[in-house]
Amino acid sequence: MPSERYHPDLQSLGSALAGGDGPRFWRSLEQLAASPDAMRFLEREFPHLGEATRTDRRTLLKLLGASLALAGLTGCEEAPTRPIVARARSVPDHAPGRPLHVATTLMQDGYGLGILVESHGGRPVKIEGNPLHPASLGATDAFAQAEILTLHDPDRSSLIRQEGTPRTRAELARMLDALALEMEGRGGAGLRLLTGPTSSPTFIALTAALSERFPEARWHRHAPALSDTPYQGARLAFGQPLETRLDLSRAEVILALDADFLSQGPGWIAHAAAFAARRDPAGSMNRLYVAEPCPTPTGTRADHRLPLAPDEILHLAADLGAALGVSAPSGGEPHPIVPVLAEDLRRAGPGALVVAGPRLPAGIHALVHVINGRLGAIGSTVVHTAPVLPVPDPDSLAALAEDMAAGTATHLLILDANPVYDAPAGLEFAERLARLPFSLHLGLYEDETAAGCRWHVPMAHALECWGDARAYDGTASLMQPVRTPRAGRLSALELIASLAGQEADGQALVRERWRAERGETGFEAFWTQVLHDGVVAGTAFAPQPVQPAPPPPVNPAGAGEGLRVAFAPDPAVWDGRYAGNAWLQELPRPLSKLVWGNAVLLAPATAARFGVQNGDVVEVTLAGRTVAGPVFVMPGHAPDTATLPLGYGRWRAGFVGSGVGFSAYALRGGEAMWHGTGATLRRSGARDPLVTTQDHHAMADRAVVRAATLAEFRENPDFARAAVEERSSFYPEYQYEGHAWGMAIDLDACLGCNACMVACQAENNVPVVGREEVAIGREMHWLRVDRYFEGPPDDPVVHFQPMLCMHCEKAPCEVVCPVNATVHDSEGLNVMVYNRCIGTRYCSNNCPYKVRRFNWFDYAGRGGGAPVEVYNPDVTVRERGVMEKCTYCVQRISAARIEAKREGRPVRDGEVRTACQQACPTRAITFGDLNAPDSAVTARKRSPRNYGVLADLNTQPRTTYLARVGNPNPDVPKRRDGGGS
Amino acid sequence: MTQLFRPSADRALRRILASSAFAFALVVVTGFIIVRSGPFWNVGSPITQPIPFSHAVHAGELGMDCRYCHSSVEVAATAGVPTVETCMGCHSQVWTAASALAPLHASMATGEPLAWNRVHQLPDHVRFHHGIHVARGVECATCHGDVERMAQVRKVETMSMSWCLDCHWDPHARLSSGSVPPDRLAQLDDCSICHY
Repeated sequence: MPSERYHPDLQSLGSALAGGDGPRFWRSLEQLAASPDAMRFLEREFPHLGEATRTDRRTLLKLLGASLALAGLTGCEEAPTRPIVARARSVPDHAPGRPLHVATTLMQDGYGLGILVESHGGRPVKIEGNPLHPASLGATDAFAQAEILTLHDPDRSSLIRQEGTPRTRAELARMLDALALEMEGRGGAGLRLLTGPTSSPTFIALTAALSERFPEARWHRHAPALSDTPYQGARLAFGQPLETRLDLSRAEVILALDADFLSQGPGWIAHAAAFAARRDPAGSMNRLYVAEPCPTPTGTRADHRLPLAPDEILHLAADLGAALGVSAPSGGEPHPIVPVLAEDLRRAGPGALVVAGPRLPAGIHALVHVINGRLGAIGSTVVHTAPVLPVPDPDSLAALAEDMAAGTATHLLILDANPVYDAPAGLEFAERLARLPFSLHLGLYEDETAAGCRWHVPMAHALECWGDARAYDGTASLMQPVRTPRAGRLSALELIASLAGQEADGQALVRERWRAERGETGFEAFWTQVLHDGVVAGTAFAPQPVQPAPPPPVNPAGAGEGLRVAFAPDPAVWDGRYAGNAWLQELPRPLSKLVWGNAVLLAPATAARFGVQNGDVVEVTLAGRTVAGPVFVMPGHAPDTATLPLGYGRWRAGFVGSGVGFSAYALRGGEAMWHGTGATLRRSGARDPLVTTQDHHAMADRAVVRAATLAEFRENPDFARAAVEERSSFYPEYQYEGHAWGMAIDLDACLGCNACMVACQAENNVPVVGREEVAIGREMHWLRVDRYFEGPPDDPVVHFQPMLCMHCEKAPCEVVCPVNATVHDSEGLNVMVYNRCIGTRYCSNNCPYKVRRFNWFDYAGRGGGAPVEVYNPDVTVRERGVMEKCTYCVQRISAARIEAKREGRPVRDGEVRTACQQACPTRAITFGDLNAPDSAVTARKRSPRNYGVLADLNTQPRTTYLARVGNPNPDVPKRRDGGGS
Repeated sequence: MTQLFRPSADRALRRILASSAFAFALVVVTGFIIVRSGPFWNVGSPITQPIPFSHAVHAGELGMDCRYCHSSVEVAATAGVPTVETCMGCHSQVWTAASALAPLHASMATGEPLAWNRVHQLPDHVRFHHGIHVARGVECATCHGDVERMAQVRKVETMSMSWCLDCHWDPHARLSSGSVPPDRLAQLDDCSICHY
């Protein structure tokens, strides 16, 4: 844990890096400055060992003797015989023991993501993408992968409560009937519905039925992580709110303004896949410019990245518009890149694309629509369709809060929203809620809002209820339960239905709504088909021909004195809904690699100006409100801006999430939901050591990441393969007559989104170790994504590199195991046999990549591990004292091999997909049979960009990487210090 | 200088060393024999079940195929036991009044699953797949013995790792037909076949 303060001299570091002195790729400022903390992790894999206890030689020998004497006894425990349980009813067409795959949909901020859920014996254990669904295309994101843990979370509420007293379902139904009767009497006056965003056609139809029954009732929407400005901007430009849909497959030059469209937002998986498909150094390469305040995964893919404060981005947009002749200039000094950028976009014509991020004001969205129109991008790289989400009234939650205070809103139902925690500061929502005569909360957890409402009803998870949703392009898909919910749990549909006077049966409601749309003829066949596919074919919204109106003038307020503040949903807990999910809490955030907490992100220069370092607690004051939190110095952050990730500081998030981090919502007022100016920052003098994995498992300054520009690649295609001589080894060569599994990872495609990390954790029963253990480098992730900076600290280029077991041909770990627990099998895998391992950790000592993980404690076992239902039965759950590592998903290889042998055919290429490969949105990871001349992985490895990490150690890794090739614009003026843009 | 030890001490020491070496060898050999004996692995002891189901009657006299009840043995890792509905296929009409079959009727009525006592249990660190063995021509009786002559099922083989390896090292000697292609033999003794 960073406990000591250090003072890196950023000036000299920056000039040293620019001058070529110092490592080309560096992992953290601490590593650059060779701070003691970073050096601890570099010198020893487990730096805390031996530090905690200092024993004398005699005691040590006694302990050794005792352990030797007891060593044999650990195997003496005999497992109790388990009964075989026979089901009562047979399940037709399903052999017990084989997993069932069910297509359903998850709703993320209202937009649908089609998934396939693998279920063993009625228990869902793994989520995969649905290849037929346009928002998924077979891949998933970290949130979708972690939903399995949320489904099985023991912290989920299971009792209906009224003022704390448990109630039955019948009592709830009686109460709702009484409420409906009372409301009917007064036409629904006072009845309010507050929900999160939803695109569910059935839900929308039910709210229509509700307003028919109660004409005065109102539906409010609260979405802390969604912004209304895209719809508002479309209204300004086109006269009506429209959904803006990107088509990256046609984009050649892209400018993203504060838009993390490659890792967040509706349809991001499809965008990332299309973007990565257009980056082929051997073919055509697109070019990405990104202007953003805080580094994001999209920014790391940029060929030119501009770290700009939010108001500077508005300037940039206005100046770009002026250069293209569609708007007036901003009036300030234009950024030097503007003329080159305008020229590049103009040359691309219909292949150009300007993306405005959701956090920008509506005026900028309108301006960007006009710019796209001028470039010819509308209809080509961007289309506009009917809105997928129902467009809410502006300031919906504020209007509700006012009505609550005024007394015109008296009966409030909150469905799947947590306004007590995440409502904008200054609304006093909690106080106003407490004064209502009736309030009901439907949610997964008994969270902050549940505590403030009179009734709490446990909600059925998306994987255990009926419903439907629309994807980012309007494609509808159904939600079907993969398991039956525990008694007492209702879905939002069912609750609203019973209030509207309809039967609270989710399946009947969804069928009814779709029957009304499809008609009677052929409905059953349609229903079965749609449930099987997971998508309703042909329901994507058609693009509408639009002509953008001249934009309103952009008047960016001057920066003024003080700091700018930017709020952003956290890449792991989003808006706070996942704070109770241990997998996501322990997932290192893509850019900062922080876990179990958030921080005030500052640029190195800004941190130096205030004299703060990582872990110093600062107080940020904005518009009279103050919040305190530790600082994290983020290389590449815009100067004079602080980013506060949302989603932390919860106080009722269960055992896992309560009290983690600080709440940025306390600072976020309705007048500045995304960007604020005029903030002040003050060192409070306290320290709150952050936990970050950025220095863990470091490989010093060796060239593990290789990158070049397109020009350099064309001149020297073999730049990635540094001259590595074929060295002979005295270990025998292996002969692979059958399959020889290998993997290739494309560093150009990797976004650092961490979907692979959570997928691996879900598939392989990887345990969570908690904050203190991660701080000493004991995180158990089999697959980690290392993040390297290149360039000066205030504007570096960022590279991601997923690191997993290389399954070396000449594995240093295999030859040192005293009990032969790690062996090479006949298909090339480096196999880990858990039952043989005695925990000497010599293998981990020998591994140069530091990809082996040791179970120091019983992380996965009794008392403290994940709920038992979450475990994948195909993978062993490891006990204390056993080493584990990536196995190339050997359980999937085994299953595919058995299947193929049973059917008397060879294993097809693509039939075995590792969990990480299947989850990756950009198909960065390719896995397959190296013995097959036409397999995808063989083709990838033939690329000149292919190289092995630390290959000079003669480990002959089977996991190799494709070096990254950037596509910078040669006309962009180079910075004097060789910075990223 | 006076000697600390009398001359007989030498003999005593040699006797102690020899007898402890002999005792150690005895322990090792006895242990070896015990651990490799059938009863240590529960071989031969019939297991009582909640319903006195007799394979001798069903598989022997009536000649029912193993796979009628153990229906997933060809496709899944577990052979499974029949669902109560499968039993009721006949027993809704046959032996309906038998008190021994009362748990069947109760389970069918309530939907409550029926728990049988397991006879063959492999440790958690072993992953055994029935489907691939059946596909390769390993007959049920090879591992489970003459089940159609057992009134109560008992283990006939130890199912120890060395017993499994006896076949895995040389399948051709054990299988009737040459269903394992020779070039695949190299794989069968990989650790990752059963332990992952």
